[in-house]
Order: sequence, then structure tokens, then C-alpha cells
Amino acid sequence: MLKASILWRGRELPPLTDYTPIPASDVSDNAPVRERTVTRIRDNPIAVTEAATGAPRLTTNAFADRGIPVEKIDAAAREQRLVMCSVVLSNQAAASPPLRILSSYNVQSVTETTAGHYTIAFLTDMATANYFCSGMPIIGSLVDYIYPALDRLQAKTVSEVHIVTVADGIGGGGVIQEVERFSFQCHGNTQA
Amino acid sequence: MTDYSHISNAELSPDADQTTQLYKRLRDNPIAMTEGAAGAPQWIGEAFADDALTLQYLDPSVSDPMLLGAAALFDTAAGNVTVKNTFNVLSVTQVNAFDYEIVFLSALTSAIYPCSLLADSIDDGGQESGVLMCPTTRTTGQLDYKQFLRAFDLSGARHAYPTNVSVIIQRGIA
Repeated sequence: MLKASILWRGRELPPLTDYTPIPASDVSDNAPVRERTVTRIRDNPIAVTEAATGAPRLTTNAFADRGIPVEKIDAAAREQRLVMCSVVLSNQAAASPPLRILSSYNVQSVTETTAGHYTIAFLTDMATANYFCSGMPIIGSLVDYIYPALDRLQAKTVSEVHIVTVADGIGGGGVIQEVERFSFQCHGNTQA
Repeated sequence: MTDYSHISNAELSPDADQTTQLYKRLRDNPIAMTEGAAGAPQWIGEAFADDALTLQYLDPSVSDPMLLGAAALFDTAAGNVTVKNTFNVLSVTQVNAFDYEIVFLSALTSAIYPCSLLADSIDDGGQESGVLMCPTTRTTGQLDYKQFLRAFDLSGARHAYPTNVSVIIQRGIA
């Protein structure tokens, strides 16, 4: 009997294989080996991979630790809901070099164009320039609170984002100032 | 738990006795593999089709805090909000001056969620400044926050209308 095909994400999947439990009596001592038993032994593992009705589901212990790479997670969920760029920067004048990337994901480079102005270039471009950003200082200054902001004079693009670190001195206005360490991340779809 | 029992090549040779014990193990071993029985081969990632694991299959106690629950990118101005991009956001509304309400499309799994807000810098009378955005109310269905100009003076906090306000909330969706 022909089975109906299934369309999944625009792809036609092969017809599902039935899962049929094999009763203990079919594999008990002195039971004859029947064609139906051998057929089920052949088909049931395939039915498990297809999550056929009645087939046992994989439990946590069945997976190898760290065995599932990220591309096996649904692309829509992966790209919309996981961090698409992150970087932790250290900028200490006494260090060599002063500007260092302590940790990063999907970051090609970080450049300090002038003091307190940073350009973060992505390894893989974002799909649009309307991605979501956040940033926080990790180590600032004991005198001023220093925090990152998007540079209003340089719009972010699909390939890079421009950050300034602003010091907020009590009793005075903000001024661009280097911060010892800050983190930045963004969410959004990439073009990959 | 079903036992996993290795089947040797000798047991499968044409000359070997085809015992029902062999067939019982042929029946049980695939089940033991799904249960992670001792000695059973474990499933590795390449066994899965690309994109096969949708979020519903991930353990929410682990995945929820890592996932983007809602996000919005918008410009603010007196009495006006221009939305540029959203994820799981129904509306962004200026309810009072410098006072905003973000309503989620689908509720989040918890009202205790990390949220971060970042915006363009501000020209504050010739000095570069920034905007501090403070959440005031967080529920599973919405986030309220206020906007302050970061450059305080001694007369007290002032306010500003920045552009490119990003709101990022990390939490699962119920």
C-alpha cells in the first residue's frame, strides 16, 4: 500500500515506516522465525528515526555528551533567538597591546578609531541593519560611570556596528572616554 | 530499561544457528539505544537531519535563559514611537513622556528575566552623552521602562528621546 508523502519545510520526506512492536512470543525459545518478525526487526529502527507512531522516543541518556552541533537546531530558532555576535573587550593603556578581545563570537575585528570610539566588524553579516544590541561596562572608573552607547553619528550596518563609551561625571555632561572593559552583544538573523 | 547486548559477526554468519535469542536481541537493541542503556551506542549529532531539533525538544531549564524571548528596535520622539524591528513584540507605546510600554505577543515563561536596553548616544548641548533606560515593571506579558539622560547635573535627572533603542529580553516563550 502506498503511503502519503509529507512536506516538511518545503522538502518531501519519504513515506513513514510503521513501527510494530514485536511480541515476546515471536522471539521466545523455540518460536519459529517468521518473515513478519524479520521484517519488523528491519523496519522498526527506521521507524524510530522517523518518530513513527508508537516508536520509542530518544531519551536524554541516549545522546552523547556535547554530541549535537548547533546546525542541527532549527535554523529559524537558531537565527532569531540565539546571540549572533558578542564580544568582551579590554582596553588598558598599560597593557600591550592596549586593546584586546577577551572573548568573541562572530566578530571579525574590533578597531578603536579614536579614543572611546569602537568599530566592531562581523565575520558573517547580519541579514538587515535592524538588529538588536546591548552592552554593559564590566570595569569602568571609580570617578565616572562609563557605559557603551551606539554612535549616533555612524549608523550600524549589516557588517559592522559603531560603539562609543561615554563617561557620566557627576555635575557635568557626558564625554567620550575609554573604558577598561565592556561587553557587547547583538541578536538578529545572519545572512549565512 | 531494555538491556543492550552486542551481536557478534559470528552469530550472523550463514552457518550460525538462527536462534530466537538472536532475534530477541535484534528486537531489543534498537529500543535500548533510545533509552541510553549501558553499552548501547549513543546518538551523535550527525545522526540528525539539519534543523531537525526545534526548540520544543530542548530542555527549557537550560535553554530558556539563553533564548531571546522578545526584542525590539525603535526610535523615540515626543509622543511618537517608530518601530524598526521586533521579535515576539505586539506593540511599543509611549504611555507618558519618557515612559514606555512593550507588550509581548506571547507570554514569557517567567516574569524574572534579564533585560538590557541600549540606544544611540545623544548630543547634549554640544557634549556627547547617553541615555539610561530603567525598567519599572516586568511581567510575563510586558515590560515598562523610563528614559533618563545620563548626563546628570546637580538640579536632578533629566530626560531624552534617543533613536535606535534596542530592548533585548532573554527568556523562553510559554
